[in-house]
Amino acid sequence: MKVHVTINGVSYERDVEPRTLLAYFLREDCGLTGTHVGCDTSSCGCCVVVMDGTRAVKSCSMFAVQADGHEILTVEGLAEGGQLHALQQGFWDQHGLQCGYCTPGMLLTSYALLKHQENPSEADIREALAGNLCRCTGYNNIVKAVQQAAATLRQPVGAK
Amino acid sequence: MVADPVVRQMGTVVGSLCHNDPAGDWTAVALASRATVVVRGTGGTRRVPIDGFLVDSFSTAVEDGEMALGAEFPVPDDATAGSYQKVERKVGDFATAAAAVQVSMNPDGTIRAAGVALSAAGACAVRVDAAEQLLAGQKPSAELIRAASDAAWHRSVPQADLRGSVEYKKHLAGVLVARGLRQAFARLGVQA
Repeated sequence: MKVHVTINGVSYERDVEPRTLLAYFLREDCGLTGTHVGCDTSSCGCCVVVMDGTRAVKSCSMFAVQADGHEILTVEGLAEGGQLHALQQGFWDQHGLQCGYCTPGMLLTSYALLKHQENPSEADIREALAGNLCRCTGYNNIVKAVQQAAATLRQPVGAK
Repeated sequence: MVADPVVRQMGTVVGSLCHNDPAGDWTAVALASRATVVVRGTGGTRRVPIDGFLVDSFSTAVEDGEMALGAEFPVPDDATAGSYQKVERKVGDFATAAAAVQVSMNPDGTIRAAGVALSAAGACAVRVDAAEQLLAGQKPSAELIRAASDAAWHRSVPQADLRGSVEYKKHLAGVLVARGLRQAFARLGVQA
């Protein structure tokens, strides 16, 4: 089946089997391996991507054809012009990653959270990230990273 | 609930019913609240009561060429309340044990109708008929809740797995039905 998806602002058209999962479409058909597959059963959240700007979805539990005509944001699309996204900077500054395997999913789930809530409480962040597992167990720093990013993004544009 | 917040971006109530995991949440809730599933195929639309819809683990009354379109839950009146009680290992996990209850009261303070169902207590979610029958027509009391709790213990036929032993899960089934009933009665302002 023909699938047409806009990923990180770039248009991709591919011919896929109907059963192809979005995660494998991104990784194997589009060569975007920043999206990780941890459990393949929608438990771990490594594969989270953002659909249509605000909706965090687990790409292992969606068919590629369900993304037809939609916009997908993956971790490769977060940084702009060589500048880390505020979330990426937050994870860097707060040591929000250890092995890094869960990080793309953590970043994109947090990205969608901050689109919905610009000033989430710690409880809001933990609730939003409940479906993202970090087997290094670095949750405290992940929460701090999201808090830092939220504060950065709340600043007026141009302010440092 | 369906799993965690991110899964719920795609997951649905009817999808959960169709999945019919033995330890799912919505199947037990649908039993306790006497839901009906709307199923459509080339032959037309049919409405399947939840008891007949849940056939076996991971299998439902949906036939080849059919699709479940929705679920209908009776609208509870002011004298009706429910509760869902669950023990889980982590947020969004399938139940180690869970109980769904719903009670409706008569103006004279007796129970008009009760729905009691368990998850993680058999091949698929089960209705605790014995508990429903012994509750109906009675005035809520600690003894009545204990009797319903015992009925749940008897009805639960769980499988031992990483989440717990058979003994543990049966124990939880009884405890959770009692907690659910107490909360449902409390929500109605009824002394139990």
